Amino acid sequence: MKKLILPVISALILTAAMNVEAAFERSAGTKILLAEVACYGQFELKPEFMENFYDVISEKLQERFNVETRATLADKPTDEDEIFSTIHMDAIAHSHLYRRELANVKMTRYGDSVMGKDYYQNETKTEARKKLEGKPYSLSPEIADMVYELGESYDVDYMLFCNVRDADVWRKTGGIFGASPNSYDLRGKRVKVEMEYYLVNTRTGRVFEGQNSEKRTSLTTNVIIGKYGNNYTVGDMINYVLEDQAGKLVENLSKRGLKAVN
Amino acid sequence: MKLFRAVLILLIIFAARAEAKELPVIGVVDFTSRVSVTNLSDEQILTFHTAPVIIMDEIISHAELRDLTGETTEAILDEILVMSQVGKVTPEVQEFAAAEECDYLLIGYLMNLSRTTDDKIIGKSDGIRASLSVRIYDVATGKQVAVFTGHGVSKARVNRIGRIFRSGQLEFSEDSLNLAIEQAAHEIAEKIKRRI
Repeated sequence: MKKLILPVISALILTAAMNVEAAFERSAGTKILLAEVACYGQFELKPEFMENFYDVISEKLQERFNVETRATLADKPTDEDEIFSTIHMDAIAHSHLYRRELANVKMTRYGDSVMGKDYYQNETKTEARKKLEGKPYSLSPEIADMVYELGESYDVDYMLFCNVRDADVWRKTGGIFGASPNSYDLRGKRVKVEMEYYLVNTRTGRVFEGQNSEKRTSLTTNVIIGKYGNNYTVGDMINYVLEDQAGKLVENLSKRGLKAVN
Repeated sequence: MKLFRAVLILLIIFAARAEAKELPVIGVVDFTSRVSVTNLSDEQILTFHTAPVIIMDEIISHAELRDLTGETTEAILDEILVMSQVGKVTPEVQEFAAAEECDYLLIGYLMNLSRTTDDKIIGKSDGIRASLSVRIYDVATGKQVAVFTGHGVSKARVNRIGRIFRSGQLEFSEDSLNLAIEQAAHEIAEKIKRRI
């Protein structure tokens, strides 16, 4: 009996380190929190498009990174939702490419309160800011502190915010195409989706602004129609473009964004 | 020598026990729709039972499954609509899942139905393309832990008889919808198996 004690103890010690793994546990790699997917532009897409985009971008991010996801759109935002919204708006307000005239009321009010209305109306300064596109910048100090605390709380290195600012369909030759998601026959029309993403380093509060813009010409639209059928609707097109944009966003983030704010 | 054999046997026994990980318990809720799908009487089709059945069949060896499709009430469907927007489990759904001792909750969404003419799969006839997404929530934390999407195509009319559905300008048979959803669900199941 006494001879068995040592081997038993040895076996227990050796196998104690073998932990049972949880399913769906976060993979190793750069830790990113998909903090918010929202629209701070004047023309907001319907919730179903935003939810589809959120699912697609979550999946593409989780293929490459150690991703945590949280709330996207909410009719009844929580306090934490408001905090993330504030961080997102602060990133937009300090960005190089922000255009006040294209933003919604909530964003313009926040931007004016943080930077002052004159900041955005000075043409010379606006042009100078545009030349700094791609260069990281800092958040407001109190927002940077908030980001640091949230980063610790969520155990992430970066936060990602997506502003799907504008999506529209219009006739190539002029005039507005009164598009609803079920409108069809896209020949001769252009589809536009514009979005920016903001990658925030939670330790430093530094932000990289990446811009994605999709303006498909009627030629490209006809190629898509040839592949998917004549009755490819506006809704289908917007979903298609958003999915395409999600892929480009993740690619851009991997190649430029992470290097810029690392 | 005897001592060595004893150590070896005990090591194998304990190692086998440690490595035999418990299968995760996944509660599979129904698939709801983000697009309007109606029958010819304009009644909304709210859930799609084919998809969860296919996913359960395919991942059965990778997880312990709880079929919650039969217990999905209108109230739970409303909560799922909220969850679709907030990205986390609401207390009501958490309670619903905990009652079945689930570790994870799988909820599906029909993202989009579109017309397609994919020559490789269905020849030159009109078809439909179904896009599905699945969100998996950790019941203990309420957080979303994974998202998977899948796509499937089918002819718009498979059989001459059977129910006809509409989504916008699109009209298709129930069989064709099920076929497209089946393909999409299969793609999602493969992704889930790789991740578990």
